[in-house]
Amino acid sequence: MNEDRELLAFVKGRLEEGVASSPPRLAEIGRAAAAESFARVAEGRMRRRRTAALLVAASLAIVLSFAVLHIDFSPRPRDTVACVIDLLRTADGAETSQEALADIGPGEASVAEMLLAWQDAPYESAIADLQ
Amino acid sequence: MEEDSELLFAYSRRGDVESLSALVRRHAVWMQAFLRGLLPTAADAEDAFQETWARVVKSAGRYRGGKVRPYLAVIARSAAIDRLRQMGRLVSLDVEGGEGASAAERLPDGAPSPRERFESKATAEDVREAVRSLPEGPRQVLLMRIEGELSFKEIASELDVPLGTALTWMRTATLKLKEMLGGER
Repeated sequence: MNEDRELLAFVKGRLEEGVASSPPRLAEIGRAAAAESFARVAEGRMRRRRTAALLVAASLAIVLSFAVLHIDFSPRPRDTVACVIDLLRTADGAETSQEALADIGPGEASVAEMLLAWQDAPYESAIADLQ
Repeated sequence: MEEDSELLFAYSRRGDVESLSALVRRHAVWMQAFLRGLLPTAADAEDAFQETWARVVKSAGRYRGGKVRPYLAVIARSAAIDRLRQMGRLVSLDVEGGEGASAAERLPDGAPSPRERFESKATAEDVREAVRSLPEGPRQVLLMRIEGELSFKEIASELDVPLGTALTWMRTATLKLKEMLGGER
C-alpha cells in the first residue's frame, strides 16, 4: 500500500513536471469570462424586467377582473326598469313594452314613481316589491 | 488566501474576472498534467484546457459549492472525451488495451523497493507515455484520482461503473505502471 502510494506520488510528480505553471492563453480565457459575465448580467437584467412587466400585467388583470365582476354582479338600472316594464306588460296584458309604458298615464303617477324608485334598486328587490 | 470556491463564487455572482483568472492560475499545473495524460499531444491538451475553462465560465452559475478541484476535473475530463471523440480516438472504457492485468501479474519477485522507485530515472515523458499506454478505464481512474482528487465513489459515478470496477481499474493502473516504470530504472 505504502509502495503504491509512493509510486502514485512519483507518477503525479512526473506528470506535472515540465508543465508550464502559467496557464496557456490566460488572456483569452479572461476575455471569454468577461464576455460571459457581461451576457449573464444583461440576461439577468432582462429577466428582472420581464418579471416586473409580468407582475404589472398580472396586477392589472386582477384589478380589471374585479371591476368587470363588479359591473356584472351589480344590477344595471336600465335592465331593472326594462324588467319591471316587462312584468307590468305581462300583468296588464299589453303586447309590447311600449304599450305598457303608454298605459302609465298621468293618473298612474305612483307607478312611474315606483319605476323611478326601482331604477337603482336591485333586481330581486324590484321583483319582491311587485309580488 | 481565498478558497477556490470563494473565487468561483466571486466570478459567478459578481462577474469578478480577476477571481476567475486566479483560479485558472491556481489549477493550471494539475489540469494540464491531467489533460496530457488523457490526450495524445500537448497541443490537444492545450485546446482541451481552453475548452475546459470555457465550460467552467459557461456553467459557473450552476456551481453550488463543494470541492472545486474534483468539479474542475469532471469538466476537464468531459472536454477531453469530446476532443477524443472528434478525433475518432475514443475507445470504450471496457477495452483492455496493451498487455492487460496479466502483464502486471507477471511482475518479478525482486520488484523494486519504494526507495528505488522514488529514485526512478524514468523521465516525465516516459511516465506520460506509460500513463497514455494504459487502457482507457484504468487511465481515467488513475488520472481522476491522482490529479483530479476525486473519491472512488465520485469516479465510479462519473464513469458510470460500479465502485468495485473503479477500484479494480485503479489497481490495474498501479500494477501496470509498476511494471512499465520498473523497467526504466
